[in-house]
Amino acid sequence: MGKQAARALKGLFRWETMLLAVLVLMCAVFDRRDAARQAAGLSKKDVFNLAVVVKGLRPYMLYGFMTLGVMLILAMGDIDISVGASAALSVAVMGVVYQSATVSGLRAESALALALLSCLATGGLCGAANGFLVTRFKELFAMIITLATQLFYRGIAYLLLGGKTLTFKNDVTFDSLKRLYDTVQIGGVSVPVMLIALMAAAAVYAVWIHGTPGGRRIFALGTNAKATFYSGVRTDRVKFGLFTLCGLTSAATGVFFVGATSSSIRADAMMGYEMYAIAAAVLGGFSTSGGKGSVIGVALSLVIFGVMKIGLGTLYGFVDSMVNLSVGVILIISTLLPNLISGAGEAIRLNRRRARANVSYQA
Amino acid sequence: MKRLVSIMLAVLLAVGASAAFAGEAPDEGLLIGVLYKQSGNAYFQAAVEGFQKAADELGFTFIHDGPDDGSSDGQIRIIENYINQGVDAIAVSANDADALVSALQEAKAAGIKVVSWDAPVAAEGRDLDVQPASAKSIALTQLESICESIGGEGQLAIVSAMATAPNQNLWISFIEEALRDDPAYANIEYVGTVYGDDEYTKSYDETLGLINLYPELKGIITPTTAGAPAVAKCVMDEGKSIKVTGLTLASDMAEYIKAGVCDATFLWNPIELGYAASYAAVALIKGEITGAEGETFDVPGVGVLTIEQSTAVNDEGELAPTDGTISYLNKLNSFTVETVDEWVDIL
Repeated sequence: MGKQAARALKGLFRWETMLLAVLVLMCAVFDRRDAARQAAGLSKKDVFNLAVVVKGLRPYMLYGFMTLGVMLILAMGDIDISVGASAALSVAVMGVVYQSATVSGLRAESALALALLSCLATGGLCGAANGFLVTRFKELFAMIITLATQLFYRGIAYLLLGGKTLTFKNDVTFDSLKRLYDTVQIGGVSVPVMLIALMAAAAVYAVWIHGTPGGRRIFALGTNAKATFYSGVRTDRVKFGLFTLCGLTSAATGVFFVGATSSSIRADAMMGYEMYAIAAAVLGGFSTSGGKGSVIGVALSLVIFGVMKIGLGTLYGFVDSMVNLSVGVILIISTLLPNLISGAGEAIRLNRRRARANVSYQA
Repeated sequence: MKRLVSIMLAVLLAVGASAAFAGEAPDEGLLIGVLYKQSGNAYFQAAVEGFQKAADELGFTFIHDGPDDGSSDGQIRIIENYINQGVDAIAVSANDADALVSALQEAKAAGIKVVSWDAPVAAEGRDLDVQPASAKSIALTQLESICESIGGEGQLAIVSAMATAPNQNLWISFIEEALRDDPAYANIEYVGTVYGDDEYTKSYDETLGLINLYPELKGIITPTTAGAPAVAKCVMDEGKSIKVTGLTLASDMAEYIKAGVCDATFLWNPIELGYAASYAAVALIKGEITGAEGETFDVPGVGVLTIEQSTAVNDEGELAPTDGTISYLNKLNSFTVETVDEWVDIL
């Protein structure tokens, strides 16, 4: 048992250790570049140190909650590309509910509570609808279903808001959401509230999906859905639940997004966030074929993406599109190379076996 | 195996990073962060030319970037990057007037001056807004042009966008005022405004209706880039000697300008806009201006710009003062047979 646990632990940490190594190395490279630039008088100030990076991670944590939801969908071997649109619809509902609640004379605090609840409810509903469609129409790929709902949710958001921005930046109560995008001082470093919230959520997720039987069923489902079903797991119910949860985490991302964008709400918000979320989950070790991945890896990959974008942007003068290109390259390498290498390893082993077979034949 | 992958990843990153190109900034002198709506857009590349021209003259360095998805949160990411790099000013064309306020307030708290240009940010998030032209000068430029084209007399009509479009209505009210009060336009008979709703076919049909209704029609002003090509096409199809002017893109109108349907059409010049925004930013950094109403700053070749109270169209369709201050270049770029080809790739 002890040995088994040790092996399990080792298996769990391998990819994660490597991600950590990449992160450390990346920081080292960036730090040297920063020092060199300062020495050469190219920088106005120290642009890459712990304080700058931790604070700078803020905008890259925005899609973090969404990533927690999406990774579980990936673990089941499904995919959800409607999360960005679900989040946009959720905050659109939040804005409209808040507006009508305050107009109808509700106290601002109650209106905000009501708006936040309806935001989460909308997210949950969006996810539940995905879950229902995916479990009911098994002949359709989750990709296609969520592509359709993505367009649908985004469309409703546009119907609700039109092309306009709904802004509450002058509403003291609603604008308190911007505290979600604030930082708190911990040991002289401004740590984003969002980073703390996200890491706390990730810890809960980690305990749940790696430490409880219910959580591990998700991976079982991704490895072999049929076997899991025949072992007594109500697979449809698990799927439905996880899609709903994924909708909820999207709505949570939405709330933070509104906090980040000065309490303004637009129908085109969080466009493309599903791709950031999937990218972070995949780099974190989750695969679209399901059955594997770990929360720690995802947390690390969220940080890696953030640090990488900060470093390339500030130290190398990469423009936004070049930064995204670089992230794309890293993602391709990190997903393709393991396959290529295992393919090559397989070929070598096969060759050896053949060679051995030849030898024995000649003998 | 995955270990190998990671090492290769790291090596690749390190190699790629050290070989990377860099927008270098000297530690002496001013650093300005230019932020536009979206990267890869010819309009903003032209604006960057203006920033470059000013940088050469004033001796500052600038970095420029825009989110590749044209999103507000992408702009926020870049603003935070600029703050980290210690820029002295940020010159921003905002994807959303409100969404950037917090991020820019954080920049201002760090002592960074904020100038918005092209697309303004809300007053709380900026020190000054620099815009190409006031509503009045946009209106009068078009009127003067068409008056010249038709020889100062004859019937004139306007093909606008939506009947509710606030900008267009404001311009039209200035045009109507000038036609009524300015003796220079005494011989022009204004027959009215029709609305093409910024749709090609509707604009075309409304223009056709005008031409049939007023066979003596001499000129049309179409102060909307979306409607202008349809209006010019209709005039050309009907073979009338009607002159058309308006606010247009060069690429849309080159054909009609060359065919003589339009003598000149107008839009602002993004190069000059970036140029003037630079001068405003540097004046703010040096403390020559604070962004308060009544101050002035000099932009070589453009003129001395005065800082005014911002205005916006209210529900009654009139200009009303709003928060914040603004400076206008009050200079539109005209597209004529000679100049239109230079602009077709940009505007």
